[in-house]
Formats: sequence, C-alpha cells, structure tokens
Amino acid sequence: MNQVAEAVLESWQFDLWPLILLLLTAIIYICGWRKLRRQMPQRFGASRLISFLAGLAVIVIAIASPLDAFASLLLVAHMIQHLLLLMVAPPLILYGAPYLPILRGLPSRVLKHGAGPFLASPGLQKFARRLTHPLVCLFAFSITSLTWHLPKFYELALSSPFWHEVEHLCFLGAALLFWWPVIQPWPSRAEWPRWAMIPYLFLADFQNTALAAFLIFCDRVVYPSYAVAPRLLNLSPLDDQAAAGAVMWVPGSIVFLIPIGLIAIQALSSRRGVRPSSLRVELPVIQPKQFSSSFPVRRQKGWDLLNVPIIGAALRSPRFRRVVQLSMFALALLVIADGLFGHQMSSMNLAGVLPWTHWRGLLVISLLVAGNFFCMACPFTLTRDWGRRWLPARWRWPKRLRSKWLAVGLLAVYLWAYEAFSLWDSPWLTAWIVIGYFVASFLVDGLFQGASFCKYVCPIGQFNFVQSLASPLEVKVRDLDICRTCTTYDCIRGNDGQRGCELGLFQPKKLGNLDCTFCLDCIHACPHQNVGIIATTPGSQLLHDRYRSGIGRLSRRMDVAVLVLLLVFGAFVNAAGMIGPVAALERTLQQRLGLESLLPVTSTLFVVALLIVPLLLVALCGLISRALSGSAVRWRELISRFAFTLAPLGFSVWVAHLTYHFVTGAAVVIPVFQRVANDLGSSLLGRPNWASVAMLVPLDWLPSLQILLLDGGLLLTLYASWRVARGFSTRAGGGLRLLAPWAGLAVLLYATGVWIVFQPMEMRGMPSGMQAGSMSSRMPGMQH
Amino acid sequence: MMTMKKQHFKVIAELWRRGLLLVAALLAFSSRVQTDGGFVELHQEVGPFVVTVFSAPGPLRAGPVDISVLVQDRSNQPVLDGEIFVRLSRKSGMTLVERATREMAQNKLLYSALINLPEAGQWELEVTIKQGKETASVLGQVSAAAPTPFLLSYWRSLLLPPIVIVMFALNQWLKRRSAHRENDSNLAFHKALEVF
Repeated sequence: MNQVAEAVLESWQFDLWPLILLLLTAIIYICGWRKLRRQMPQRFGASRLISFLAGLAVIVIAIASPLDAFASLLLVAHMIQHLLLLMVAPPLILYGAPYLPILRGLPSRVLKHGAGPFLASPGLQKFARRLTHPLVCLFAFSITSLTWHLPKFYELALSSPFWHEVEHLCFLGAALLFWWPVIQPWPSRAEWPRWAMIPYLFLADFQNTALAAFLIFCDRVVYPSYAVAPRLLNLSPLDDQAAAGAVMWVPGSIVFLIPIGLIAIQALSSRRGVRPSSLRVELPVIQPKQFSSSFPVRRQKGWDLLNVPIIGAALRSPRFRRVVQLSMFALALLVIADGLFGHQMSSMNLAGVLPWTHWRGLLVISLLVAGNFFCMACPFTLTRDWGRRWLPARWRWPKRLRSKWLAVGLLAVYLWAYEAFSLWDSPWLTAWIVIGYFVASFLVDGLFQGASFCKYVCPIGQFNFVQSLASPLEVKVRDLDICRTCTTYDCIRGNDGQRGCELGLFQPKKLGNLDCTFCLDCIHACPHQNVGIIATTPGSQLLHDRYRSGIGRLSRRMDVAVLVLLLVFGAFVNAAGMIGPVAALERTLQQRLGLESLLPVTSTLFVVALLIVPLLLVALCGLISRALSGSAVRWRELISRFAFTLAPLGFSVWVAHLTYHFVTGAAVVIPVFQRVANDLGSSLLGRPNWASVAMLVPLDWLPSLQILLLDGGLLLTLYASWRVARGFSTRAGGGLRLLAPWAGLAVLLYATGVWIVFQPMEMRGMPSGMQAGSMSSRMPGMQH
Repeated sequence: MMTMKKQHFKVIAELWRRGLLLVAALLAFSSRVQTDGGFVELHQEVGPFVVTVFSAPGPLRAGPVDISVLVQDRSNQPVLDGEIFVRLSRKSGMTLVERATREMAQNKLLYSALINLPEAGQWELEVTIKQGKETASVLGQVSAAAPTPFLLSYWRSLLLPPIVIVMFALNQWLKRRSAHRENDSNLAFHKALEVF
C-alpha cells in the first residue's frame, strides 16, 4: 500500500469520554435487547441489535477515524464526518428501537428508583411528547444544520476542540430528533399520519440542497481556515469546498429520498387495501405446568460467576486454586531471590517491580471489577498449611486479640514503614518483608486453630476485606430456603472431604465480603451446591446494619470502623507521600529543624496525617452531626456507621493511585525479566531494552480516568452516607442535618484526592531514564 | 404576593445569570491540548520542502502544548521519512528541544511533539527538518498566554458529581411529589367515602 495512504488509514484516535459513553450504551443496549428478545422475539430480532450497534460504530468512525484527523485540513473530510452524524448514525440507532432495550438493560434498582420517577413524571412526559413533535424536530434539525454552517460558527468549531465536540453533539441530538418521526421507533406513537413524512423529508432535503448548492457555486472560500490550510491531494480550497458541497448534495439527498420512496410505496400499498402485516407479539405467558419443567427449582439470586463456562468450572476445581497459589508462590520466591541477590535498583529488580507495581495494581483492579480474588490465590496459604502439618496448631487464638486491633496496628506500622524507609525503593527490604510474611503465616497458623492469621493478623487480608465491600461479586447463598432445611451446616463445620469456613462465616447469615477470603471452601463443602459467587450492587452492604456472621453489627465494631478509617486516610497519605509538594515540605522542615535524617520529619508528618487529623475530623463530624440533628444516637454508633460509608472514597483513591503505577509501569516487567535471565547467564529472552517501555493506556487519559474513579468513590460514599443518615432519622430534614458534616468530610477528602492527582508524581517501577525523558514533559500532573 | 413573586423571579434570574457566567468561564478555559492540528503558526517554503507548523491549544498557553509539523515536497506530497526537531527558546536563554514524531501525532501525515511550556510570553520557534542529505529550518515566533488552571482543564470529569447530585435531588423531589399526590388522592377518596 502507498505510504501516504497507510499513514492516512493509521490516523485513528480515541477520546476517553466518548469511548466510555458509547461502550456503556452498547453494553446496556445488548443486556436489554437480550431480555426483550426472550419476551418478544419478533419485535427484537437480530436486525435491531445490528442496526443499533452499526449506528454506534458510525459515530466512532465519525469522531475517531482519519475523518476527524483530516477535518481541519480538508472540508470534504469534515463534511463526510457531519453527514455520518446527521444522516447515517441516527436512523440506524433509532431503527434499533433503543428506548425499551436501554431501560431494560439498566440494573433493576437503577431503573426503578433512579429512572422511574423521571419516567413517571407527567411534566417530563409532556416535554418529551412536545420535543418529538415533527414540527419541533424539523425546526431543530434545520436550525442546527444552518447555524453550524454559518462561517462564524464553523470557524469557532474549527478553532476549538470543545466547540467542535459541541457541534457534533448538536448535530447528533438534532438528527436523532429529526429521524424520530420518520423511523418512529417502537413503542412511540406517530403524531402525524405516515404520508406527512414525505413533505417533512422534502423540506429537509430542500434545505440541505440549498446549502450544498451554495458551497458548490460560491466563488470564494466560505470558511477562511481552509484557505490557509496546507494543500493535500492537490485540491485547491475552492475545489475542496465544491467537493464538500457535492458530498452534501448527492449522498445527502439520497439519504432523504430513500425513506421518501419507502413511505410512498407503503402509503400506496395500504390504499390499495394491502395493509402492512401487523407484527404479532406473543407475550410471555407462563403456564403452571411449564413452570416446573422449564425453570430450575432453585431460585437464582442474580448472575453467578460459577455458571460461566470454563471460569466456573475452574473455580469449582480445588486443584485450580492450588495451581494459582503455587504460581504465586513461585513468583514470591523469585521476588525474594532477586531482592536479596539481584541488582539493587528497584526499577530493574523483580522485588521492586512485581510487588509494588504489578501485584498492587492488579489487586485493586480485581477488587474493583470482581472481588477478593487475591486472597483466593494467596501464596501464604501454602505456608499456613505447612505450619498446620508440622506444628501442633492446637491453641485457640487469645480472646483479647479476637478483634481487628492487632491488624490495625500492623497496618499502621506497614504504612509508616513504607513512607519512612521507602520500601518500594528497596528490593532487599521487600524481599525480607515477603520472607517475614511467610514465617508469620507459618507460625501463626501452625500454632493456632482456624485461619487466625487471615482473620486477625494479615494486613493485606484486612485491606482486601474492607475494599471488597465495594466489589461487584460476593460469595453467598443462592437460595435461603434450602439453607433452612439444612441440618448438617457443612459450609461452616465442613465434612469428611472438605473443611468448612475457617473464618467462622456461616453462609446463611453472611452479609457482604468482610472477612471472606474467597477460599471457596464453603462452595466445595455445601452438599446442596447452594453457594455461588453472585453479582451484587457494589457498596450495598454499607447501607444497613444487620447482623453479620463472624462480624456482628457494624455499629458495634469500633475496631473494624477504625480499620476502615485507617485505610481511607491511609490511601491519601500513601498517595500524598510521593508527590512533589509533600517531598518539598519534608525537606524544608528537615532543614529548618537542622536534622540529619528525614525519618523524624516523615514519622511526625505520618502521625499527624494518619492519626491526629483523622481522629479530629471524625470526632468533629460525629459531634456536629449529633448537635445539628438533635439525634439521641450514641456518638460511637454514629461514628462506626458513617466510617464505613467513607470506604468507597478511600478505595477510589487506592485504585486511582495504584492503577496509575500499573498502567505506566506494567511493561517494565519485560526488561526486568530479561535482565534476570541475562544475570543467570541465559540469553533466551534477549537483551533488556529499557527505553522501549510502552504504557497500557494513552497518557492523556490518565488524569481523566483518575478523576473519574474519584468521582465514583465520592458519589458512592455520599449515597451510602445519605442512606445511613435516613436510617437514623426518618424525616428528610433530620437526615440531611445528620449527613451534612459527613458529606462535607467526603467532599474535603475528594478535593484532596483531586489535588494529589494534579501534583507532580514519582514514577515508581520505571527506569529513571524513561521517567525524565518522556513522561515529565507530556503531562503536568506527572512531572518530577 | 406580587412582590414575593417578583423577588422569586429576581432570584431565579440571578441564578441563571451566575450559571451562564460560570459556563462562559468554563468554556473560556476549555481549550484542552489537541494531539495535533490546531492553529497554523507558520507556513513556509524552504529548500525542497513546504513546511506548515500547527500549534494547539489555540490560543497557545503555557503548560502542555502540541507543536505539529506537516512537511511536503514541492509537489505537495507529504514527506514521511524526515527527522523533525522543534526548538522553543526565550530571550532569557531558556531553550526547549523536542523531537517531533509521527507516532505522537493523531494525523499520521504530521510530526508531533508535546512540549511543556514553563512560562507565558514570546517564544522563538525553530523547526528543523532533515531528510537524507537535505536539511532545512523554519523560524517564527509564538506567543503563549498564562496557563490554564488544571481544574478547569478537566472540568468535564469534575462536573460529574455535581450533575449526579442534582439529578439525585430532582429524583428525590419527584418521588416525594408523587407520594404527596398519592396521599392527597387517598385522602380525597376517604373524604368522599365519609360523605356517603
């Protein structure tokens, strides 16, 4: 292929926001279409789905393909782009009858409680009826099309990416309105008789033709930007303009004439007495006899991961879990070996890269999109099992330590050590931490019964338990009725072939993911196959204070609340510890105090930021909350309940922070493995090329993605706080007063998170040459 | 009653005015960095090349800017195997040099370099093109305004929570209104029953 043509065809670029919106729309439509197809197969055939997805694909072609790249250089490319948005994508989308599939595709709670009040509002219904009236639609289309083709507005769109996007949105919105009465997507009803669409389309075509003719026959360049643009394809500006006019005229008119022809044929056929065959819709009527045969006896509560082919089978297999654990164990051994004996530059060592960049990033991503699958694959399970085999393992965990306080202390020490000793920058220390972990798990579970290490000691486990409160998957019972008839309780007691839950979670009374290691022992033990990995609304377990097996009520667990607060504020401290202003503050304080080491300054700042400030803020919120609402609820209970609602915000900061390192530094693992192989004398993997380390997503997506994550965390926190406040006070006013200080705290934390995102950041796990060269100059939020 | 209504309208009008001002302010700062394209800064014919230099955002601001270069031969055919260097310098002696590549550009006929302009003001722009043995340079001046505050650069992402909160408030208001309506109709029904 010609080199120029190849370059043109490669000129694609995807913007984050449109891509997210289009992907979400497609997913929601497909989900809804699948549900509706089961009920109305004739109405929602494959053609609807294909048409809708084709419409979305046309939008992608219009805004991300070479057409967009060349829109500022060639008017004809820009005109084709507009034609796709005005005349191709909207009819295809509307032919997909998107109204019902999109509504059915939404989660039922969102549809009922979120969209429901809007859809049921008489005012909005009236507005929608008026908006889709053919006169309004035609007027909107004509005005939008004419206005944006005026030189002043066209130039505005050419000079500003923002206005260019507004122009495209206006075109798409007006065109969807225009094509609405023509396609009349089901179940909307026509305002005008069908034949009236013929003059309707003719009027639009007339306006389009007039505009096209003006561009073709005008003897001056209408849009000055194209007069100064460099000449491509050897087209003069006037030729380019005429070509654009021709595109608008000929294909544009054809798009209008096709439906005119079809409607005319339809109208004439019906006059001759041949009515179009009415669509027979069979409503899904369930006969009692059919019910028992076609539906499973057990009621399934939502989507179950165990029912997914291959993945479900793998998860059910105990061997699969052991294989994953052994793989992780092997990686941990590699980390230890390279950390102790390998190159001590963290970005070139497996101990500097695998745990801090890859494992942490993948951990939070898996918690966000699935659940606590790291605990399932935990390599320390092996040493725990060996401990049980070789040591007595007969003592019960001391009563005084049966809480999360020990884990809170260990977690605080870990977070402090991370900052104070720059653990991420020391492969040697990292290796010793992993060794320490293996030894601790071996000893604790070798001496004490049950999974004492996981439940009371492991800081990673506590992190996973708390963050998985916002995960979309949960190990839970499929049908409670089956549990009511169960007499053996294998899920907690175990049986001859399988142990029960070591963390003391009784499945029928288990709520949420707290203390659940996803070990799947309960799934294997249940003789009724009544436990699954079931989809749940993220954060829904934060909304109520019911009794939970193995935990009790959240309002009475101050230790768990403090653990949550430590992880929430720890997220901010951990992210802030690596930004320029904090590093500068530490150095300034060190100089002013005349200290030789940074350790006292870092430690003091750490105590202030992770202990004193959170304590003051939370206590203050509790006091204000009580004073404003006049509530008689105990202060401790109030704090315990609201502390949990901050968990999603803290989690969003962890995800934004750790995925940033992952997507920017994931590929560095290739040269690191090459370096290890070379050090061992093998040239099988080739020589490491430290300069060619690619990123997983475009760099300019990162700040937007990070803020988007923080947005999600803030909104979930605010919603959970609102629901908790309403639980304490049934009156809206009282609830709002209770909520106010906590919402204020959430917004303050969110603002801190956004501020951190925009600060110069260190690039961990990346070769230093790469950091200075290519990252810092691109995005201001990532300078050193 | 009328005075209260007038006051009510005044408050609404003021809210609208402030809202529009806020939107206008956001739009004024909404110039994100384009990966390439943007304003034509220079268009010169030097040696065997026709060189067009674009800059984005328009108008140029201190902070991350994109300098894109289209190199064509005298017959307007794009030159795709050149080596392009962009040099920006200040009178104070500060100099930034970055290699422009086609990988960085959205439009793969162009060469693009993302440069972080540290300060506003006049900058000397020099673009050097090398292709085989041919070398040419174009010179010009660009003016950079004060940088866009980052918060305003990412206003779209930051606007999401307020929009969702407003929608939620509206949702709650509609729910309460429909509940009131249901209560009223129930009350009317019971009163009607009492009459009989």
